[in-house]
Order: sequence, then C-alpha cells, then structure tokens
Amino acid sequence: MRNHAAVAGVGLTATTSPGRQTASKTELCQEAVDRALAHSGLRRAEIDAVVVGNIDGFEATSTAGRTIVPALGLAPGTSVYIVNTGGTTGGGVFNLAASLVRGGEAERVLCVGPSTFDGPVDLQAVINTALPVAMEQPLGIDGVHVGGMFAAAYQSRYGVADEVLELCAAQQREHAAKNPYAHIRKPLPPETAATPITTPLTLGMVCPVSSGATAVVVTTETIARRLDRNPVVRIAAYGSVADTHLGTGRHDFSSCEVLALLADRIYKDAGIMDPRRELDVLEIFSPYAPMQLILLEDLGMCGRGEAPHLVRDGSLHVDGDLPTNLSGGPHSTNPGVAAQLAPVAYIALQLMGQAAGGVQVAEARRGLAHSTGSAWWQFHTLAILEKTE
Amino acid sequence: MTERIAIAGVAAAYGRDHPAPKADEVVFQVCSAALRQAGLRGQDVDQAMLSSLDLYDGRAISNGLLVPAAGGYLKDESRIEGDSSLAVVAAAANIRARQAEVAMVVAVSLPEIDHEQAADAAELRRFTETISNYTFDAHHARPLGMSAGVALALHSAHTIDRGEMTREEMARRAAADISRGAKTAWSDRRTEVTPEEVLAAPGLAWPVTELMLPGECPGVVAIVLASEARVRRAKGTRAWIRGWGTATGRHLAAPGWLADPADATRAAATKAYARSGIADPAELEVIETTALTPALQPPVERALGLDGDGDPRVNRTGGATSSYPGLANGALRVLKAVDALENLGSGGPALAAVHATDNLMGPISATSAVLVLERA
Repeated sequence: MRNHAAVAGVGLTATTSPGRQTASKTELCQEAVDRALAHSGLRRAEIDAVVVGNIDGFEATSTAGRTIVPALGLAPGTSVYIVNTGGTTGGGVFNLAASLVRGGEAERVLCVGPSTFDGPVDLQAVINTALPVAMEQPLGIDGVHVGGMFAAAYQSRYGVADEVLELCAAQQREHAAKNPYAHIRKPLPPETAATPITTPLTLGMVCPVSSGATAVVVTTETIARRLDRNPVVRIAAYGSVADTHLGTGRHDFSSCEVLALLADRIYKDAGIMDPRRELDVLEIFSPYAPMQLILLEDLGMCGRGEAPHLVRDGSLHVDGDLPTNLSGGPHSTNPGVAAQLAPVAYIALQLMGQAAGGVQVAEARRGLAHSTGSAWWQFHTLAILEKTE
Repeated sequence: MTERIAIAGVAAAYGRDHPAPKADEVVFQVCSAALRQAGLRGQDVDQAMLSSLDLYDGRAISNGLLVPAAGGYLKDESRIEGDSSLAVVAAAANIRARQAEVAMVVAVSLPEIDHEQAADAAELRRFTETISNYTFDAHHARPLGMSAGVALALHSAHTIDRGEMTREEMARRAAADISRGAKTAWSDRRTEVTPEEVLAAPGLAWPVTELMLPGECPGVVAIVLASEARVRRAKGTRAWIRGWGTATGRHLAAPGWLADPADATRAAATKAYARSGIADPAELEVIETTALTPALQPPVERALGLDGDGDPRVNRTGGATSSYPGLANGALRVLKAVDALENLGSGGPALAAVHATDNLMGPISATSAVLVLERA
C-alpha cells in the first residue's frame, strides 16, 4: 500500500568559513546525522537507504558521498544513492528520498547534505566550468556574474533603486542574526559591504563561502506518526525543473521563467490555489540577496515588479504576512549541498513548532522549500511541506 | 508483488568507435531512438533521470549540458552519480510515487579525453583509474595508489591465495567471455582470444591482466520507462520491470570485503526476488551479471542464488568482460536482457535478472542493483 512521505527529523550543524572549520567534511556529516536521527527518534540500524549529495567539480574528490557514508555507522548493506545536480543537489536529494518512500522502495531514508566548498582555492573559477564550453566559459562568466546579470535585468526593467537591493541583504542578515546555525550573523561594516563585485551586486549582497552540514530523515507518514517525537510533517508535493543550458535560451533575465512553471505544477499537486494566502513560511535559495525579488514573483507571491513592496513593508519578517528566509537563507550561510537541503530542514522545524533560534511563525501549517543552481539558474527544486495534525 | 514498470524503448550507441564528438548530440540521438521505439515524443517525457559522472564528463554539473538533450527541458530532472541501474531504480520509484508517467533514463559514459585516446583501451583505463583514485579517501587510501583496478587485483590475489581459483582458470573464464561476446552485436572486444593471450596481455596489478578487467568503452544507453497505465497508449512494451533491490557493499576499512565481495549483491537479490515473487532462481531464463573480474564471477553468481559454476543462462554475450561502458553498464545489461527475452521466442512468460554495479572503487563501497524483468 502506498503511503505519504514525511519528514521525521532534521539535523543542522553550526557553520563557519572553510578556513576556520576545524571539523572534516565527514565529521560535519556525522554531527548532522547524529542530530537528525536523535530528532527523529530512529536508530541508525533502522535506516534502509541513504541519499547523499556532492558536486564533484567543486570538491577535492570524486563522488565524496562514497567516503562519507561508510563513516555514518549505518547497517551493512544500507543502499546508497549519490545525487549531483549542481546547485539543486540538496533539493534533489530530498526529492529522491520522498520518491523512494512514496514508491515503496524504502521506509526510512537518510538525506545527507555535506559541506561542498571546503576544497577549492578559487570557487568562482570552478563555477565557470559549469557554463557552456564554447559560448560562455571563454568569457570568464562565473557565479557572481550570473547573479549580477539577473539583478541588473530586474533593476533595469522595474526601475528598482539600489537601496531596495541593499534592504534585501539587510533583512536576510537580520534574520540570520537569530539563527544559531547561520554563518554571517551580523551586517558587514558599511564600507566593506559597499565593495563593488559586479554591477549591481556589492559584497554585502553576496553569499559567503561556508562550511557545515545538514541531514534530514524521511519516512512514511505512518512511521512518523508511530515515532511520536515531532508533529508529523507531510511532504505534500515536490519536483524539479530544467531550463536550457545556454544563457541565450532565456527570454528574460528579470525572471526565472521555469520556476514559475514548476511552481504551478507543485501548487496543483499540493492543492494550492492562492500561494500567498495558503503558504505560511518560505525558505528560498537566493545566494545573491536581490534574487529574492525575482524568486518571490516567480513563485506567484506578488505581481511582476511588485516584490520590492514586500521587502519595504516588512512582509517577509516573522510577523509579516509572508515570512521568508527567517534562517537568513543562503545569503548568510552557503555551504553548498548542505545549504540546498537546509530550506527543507528549516521549514520542517517551523511546521513542527521548533523554529531555529525560536523565530517561530505563529500557527505555521504549510511551507515551501526551494533550491536552484547550475548555469543561469538552469535547475530549480521545490517542496511543499505541511503539518497534518 | 508491487506494480510493474514498462520498458517501452531501449537504445544505445557505444563502443570504442566513439559515436560522435559531442556528448549532448549523442544523448539526443540515443534518446530519440528510444522514444521512436516507444512511439513517444520528447514532450511525453515527464522526467529525465541521468547517470553520469562530472569527472568523466570533464566539467562541473555536466547534467546541465546533458539533461535538455534527454528530454528534460522544462521537465523534472535528476542525476545519479553511480551505475545506471540505480538511475533505473530511481526513475521507477518516481513512477510508482506518481511523480512521472514516462521517465527517460539516460546513461552517459563518454570520457572527455582526446578522441583518439578514448579509442585506446589502455589510455581509457589510465583515465578511469586516475578518477577512481580520486574516489578513494584522500588521507589514507589515495596516497597508497588505491584504485578500482588495484582493489580488483587485491581480491583476485586473495582468491588465488585461498585456493579458490587459479590464475589459469581466471584466464580461461576471461577468454570464454570475450570470445562469446565477440560473436555478438553488442560487444566491445570483438576478437576472440585464448587463455594464453589473456595471460600474456599487459598487466595492471598481479594477478590481473588487462583482458581480465571489464572491457572499458565509451557508451550512451537510453531506456524509456512508463507506468502500466501510460504505456497502453504507447507503441508497445519491450519488457516489464517486475521488481528490484539495491544494497551497498563494505568500505575499504571494513573487514570482509575481500572474503565476501558480493554481500551487497546477495542483499539486493534477496529483496528483488521477494518483491518479484521469485521463490527459486531456476525460474529465470536470462541472467546478466556484472562480475568485474573472473575471480568475482563465482561469488556474484552464488549471491544471485546460482551455483557459481558456468551457468549457461549467465552472460550469453560475454558480460562486463566483453563490454563495459562505465556507468552505462547497468543500462547496457538491461538492454541485453530485453533483447535476450525477445529472442527466446514465444511460449508464455519468461523472466530475466539483471545485476549491475559500478567500477568506481572496484568491489569496495559499490552499490549493487538487481532488477527482475519479465517478457512483455
């Protein structure tokens, strides 16, 4: 008999910069897994599958998951699936776990989001290798250029002032200040924050390179209910979408058009007619702070060009009508795959009434977790979680 | 027994004559061929499930290039960095989870090295061995030069040391596989060889010679999977996936990987048979296994419930020793099993078992999958 999939437990580690990190990638995963299992009430021996993410080109190894999983102390024979979809790897890990459970392949799946960026000397140069070889790599385009181009297109199309972009960054850092798992928990000094990166992005709008890990336990809803450790959080809908690889395949850089398509599909699956009204809390993947504006519009939270109002009027705060990135998001903490899985963990904690840092949205019943990545935000994942009691 | 998944189309382009210089073009061609078989179009694909490895593909996030060519544009997508049999399992789980009705599984192993180098078996081996070394633990195993080939040689030496198989027997088995495969359409090693030639081939690490190792070759294989309901409005079904099981083997430091290298295969087979309603492997008419060396053949076959001694149902076209297109191996084994089921002729139900695993670390920490197929 088919069963819903549910989040039974989550585990996050504290984060810092790779240069200050004293734990290895494997030790960080061990800590996150210990916490997730303890939170769920499951024992290691009960896990029947592990889905772990890595992004090979960004790491000093190939398929890092193969050396991490044996150190997690799981039962011999536990099935291991390694997912790599770039910036959506964490979301892909979670989605596959949900399908393994809903499809009857496994009953207790451990999702592992390792720290990704501990190795590269020049991360932007590595990101460049993910872009199309003939057309875009030779131009030297890397992550911040892509982030800057979308922000510039949005700013140009809707006449958005620099102050709004800076406010996006300030609000997310303000949220991060209360999150014990966040990396950058206070604003940069103004003169540092104003350092130009690529127009219109300044240093204060750009994510840090972080080190940390995230783990999530997915089970059947029946098992989650039987464990009776936490309120049951059902995975109501989930999915992913792919755009073209070439940047020239985009019609409009002021929008991630494929995210709007994915959102329509996921809302239909979850029975959501009015996402602004029916979603209580959002964690969206905006490593460059102004991206938040674009993503909110693509997710149908407001009309085109209207997202700056949400930022200005405080809607995105915990007491606003659209609490968004209360964790501080990847703009404050970005350890790669761990950061891509973290939105699911933070939303689950909100719905369980156990919000990180105590920044709890009152009566949160339904939330959305998003991740994105690859060339020109080619891939997106979404998951809708809801409390069932 | 759980619901069946239809294999609506299977197509491949592989071999040492590297099918085309651009990976996305090959993927597009092979996926198109599989869809034509199925009577479906690109827009019918709900999900593209890729199996490939960034370090083979020569770029970070290589699925960015390959997924749109596999019908994933504007659709659900994911990528497994492991043998393509796991991508089949993941896609089938998505269909059972009602996340997709039609899934395109595409396995890509086109090592991004010089075109002529890729056509040279020794160069290809050097490339995959280097990447294999990067897969091992950076502090303890990598500096020692551990690689898939070294791990396989260690196991083969252990087998000889325990008196379970002689080097001559290994050569005989390898020669038989290569010669059997050389006569078939889907082979990479196309010349029959003698045991003496196997023993005289260049060595990788004692006791293993090049011809005892998997027949590494580039390749792309695409499989169109569909739900039972959806495939009724397709052109037809080539075979059904009745059930499957997966399990992961022991890591380098765990005791037992040398003495019992097929424990994961045994666990995967137990699950697959139970889910497929198979009480006795004698019910199987076709068996495709992935034994990465002749020394691994008996333990793998015993793990699948066979007697481990030259069962004629096993690897009729030579198995991995004949042709091994990297991560596309599992999908190739599925293709071969589907072909074999179709060639059995009419006469009621027929079942096949497909066992696959990757060779990123030899038998160490490898995930094995066993799929049970049923003739359509």
